[in-house]
Amino acid sequence: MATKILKSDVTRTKEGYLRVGWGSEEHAAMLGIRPAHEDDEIQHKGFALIDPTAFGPQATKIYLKESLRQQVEVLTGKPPKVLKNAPKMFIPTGGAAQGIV
Amino acid sequence: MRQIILLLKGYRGAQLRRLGAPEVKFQELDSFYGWVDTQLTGVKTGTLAVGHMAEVMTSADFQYALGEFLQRRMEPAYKRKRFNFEPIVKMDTAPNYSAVTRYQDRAGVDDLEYVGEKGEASPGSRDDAIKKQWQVYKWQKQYEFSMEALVNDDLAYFSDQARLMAEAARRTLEKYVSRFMWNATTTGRLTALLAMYSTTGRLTTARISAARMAFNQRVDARGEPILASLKYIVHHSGLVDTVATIQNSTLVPELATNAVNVVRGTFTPIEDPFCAGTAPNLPWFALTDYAADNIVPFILGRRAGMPGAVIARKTPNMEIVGTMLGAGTPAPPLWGDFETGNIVLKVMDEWGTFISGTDGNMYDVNGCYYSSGTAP
Repeated sequence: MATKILKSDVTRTKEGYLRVGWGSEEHAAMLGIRPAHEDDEIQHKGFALIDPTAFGPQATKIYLKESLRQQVEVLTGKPPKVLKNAPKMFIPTGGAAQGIV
Repeated sequence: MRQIILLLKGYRGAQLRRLGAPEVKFQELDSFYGWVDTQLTGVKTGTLAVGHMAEVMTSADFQYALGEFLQRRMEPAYKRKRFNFEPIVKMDTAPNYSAVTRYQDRAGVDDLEYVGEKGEASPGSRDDAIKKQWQVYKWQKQYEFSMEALVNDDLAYFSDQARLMAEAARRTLEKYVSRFMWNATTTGRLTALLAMYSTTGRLTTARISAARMAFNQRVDARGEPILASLKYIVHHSGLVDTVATIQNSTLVPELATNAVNVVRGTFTPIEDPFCAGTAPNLPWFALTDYAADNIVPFILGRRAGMPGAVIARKTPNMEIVGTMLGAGTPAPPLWGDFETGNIVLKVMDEWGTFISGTDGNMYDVNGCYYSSGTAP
């Protein structure tokens, strides 16, 4: 199995906010996962936990697998977007009475 | 109709005979059906007194009267869920309705540089502060009652009108604050900043850890690390049990496992009953503690001298100056205005917040982290 290669993608916006690219190497690090190596015992979709021992010696295999799965689903999924049912920001327009609906 | 009454009378008579009813019951039967027949014809024979009929119907009438008039009462109203938003919103005051200006210092100054022997230090600089403006707006609703409605209110249905109006003011404010987080502009800004400010993950221990890591890596306008700790998680009502499980378990709750739950007790959950979402995609929002970190996620402004909602009544423009009942007779109490007798109440409050076409309602984006709750 070929090891996945993630690209580095960190920029700063003009306001100074860090913008970490979705699915990037840095994003994977934030999630505590990395591309899997052949000898990684616990893998999911080509990814493995950066440090399975971080959860302690009592962590079960099923726990580690589930933790990995959750983070891989985020990393490999589409970036978040505004929900279809997201309400509009309330902006007073003046004139007629206006409620929060 | 009279034929039907006659048939009913015959049918009831047969029933009574079958039951062996005493003679007096048959007399009542004559009185009752005779009375109904008289009412239908409109011809008063003089032999069937209405009083007889009333006596026959007393038992049923009395029960009806008891049930409908004497035993009427209002049941207690529903209890309302509250959105206790205070910890995540910094309060501020404005002296009037004009926009007020605040400046945020989002950067320090330059690092020092090594200077060699007889070398001269290079000049340092300081970034401009970030200008923020907001203003307060009026929020009101008025109710008009006719005097008849209030006088006729023997159930005291309107007696808690003032309380409901005050409750509506609080509820509106809660909806207003809730909208800060979930509106399309705010969430659009956070999702555009990608992984450091948003995720897709449903609420689990692992995702809270990722959110904490994102906060821990926040930087100021110069890219220097800042203190930003995840303190509050505002969540959809559908996540109450999920949060409780995470908070109450000493072990990681998503699975039957024996791994220690390091997330437990490190955040304060706040349920937002106004957060829109459809299971299983239930959003959540992580925030810093502005009191500890000086990162203010949201701001709620009020006008000085107007700290909460007030209820007002329109002063009646009518005065009773005399009666036709004779000297010294007190005038009957009449309320409302001169023209219609109506009574007008109004509940009023004043508040506002920061509004930006770019950042939504976020006063400081560094204090926020959003999840659409869509990734399993």
